[in-house]
Amino acid sequence: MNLNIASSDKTPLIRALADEGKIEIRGRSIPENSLGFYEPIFDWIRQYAQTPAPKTDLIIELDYFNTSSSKCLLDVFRLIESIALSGHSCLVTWIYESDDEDMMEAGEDYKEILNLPFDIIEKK
Amino acid sequence: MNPNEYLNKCASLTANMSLNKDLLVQFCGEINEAETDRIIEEFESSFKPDEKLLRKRLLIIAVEMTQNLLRHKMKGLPCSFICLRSGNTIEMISLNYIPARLSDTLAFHIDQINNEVGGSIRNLFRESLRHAVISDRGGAGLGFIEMRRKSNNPLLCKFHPVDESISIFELMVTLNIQS
Repeated sequence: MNLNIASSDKTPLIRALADEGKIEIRGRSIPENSLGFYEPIFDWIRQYAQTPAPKTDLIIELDYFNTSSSKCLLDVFRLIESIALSGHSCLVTWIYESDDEDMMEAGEDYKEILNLPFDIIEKK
Repeated sequence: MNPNEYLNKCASLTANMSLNKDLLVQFCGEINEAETDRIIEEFESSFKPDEKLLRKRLLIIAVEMTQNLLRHKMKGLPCSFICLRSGNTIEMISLNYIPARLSDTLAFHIDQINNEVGGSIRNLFRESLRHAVISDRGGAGLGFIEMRRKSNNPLLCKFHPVDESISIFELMVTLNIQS
């Protein structure tokens, strides 16, 4: 039960591997209909949450995103948070490009809002 | 003001605003998804390779502005978006028809956002994100806060009444490059 969505000019690459407990979101996220784009990811995580891997890694490496995507990303994090609350190990890794203060701050915003282990890493 | 008069007004506004400035992007007409894509593509290509971070910051604002135009467009009526550059200043201006009854609410909302400075804008964004809900039109209600935050300048807005039921909403976002 994996999920693969190729990236486009407006949407990020999504790669979710249930056995490895690894979910990646990479690229830019500026769709007009963010909810429509993220709904399959929500569905996948809800299903995955029923029997998650011992450790779940969510890796986010975004170039930039619109505000409707920021709400959808928060919903992705909330779903991972619920997996963590059920006693499973979860880690979010937020990767931002060197010198990109905006993306670093965005990671800090989510870290502040969430109750999840959340690493913010500068990509050299 | 009928749509044709509006288009003429856009043309004259653009001509006035762009005096002594570089016109980076200009759109005036009925907006759709293909047009927002084209505007953003044109916008991206108007920056030099060494302006990557500036381009990204401006793109975030431009995407919010053009997607607002698309989400809130009134059927059959045009809107416009222009981006101007003058030295170290970038101006992005959008104009669109709105129901006149929304003018006061919109002005109040923007005024509240403009009153936030420095770290308080960030706190406002976090709080708004925490409680955000995606609307029927697809927005999360965070666009103006994000424009204010990324531009580091107050948002300037004007309302031009057309008749009792319709106004034109003019929004200007200014970014000083050194900021």
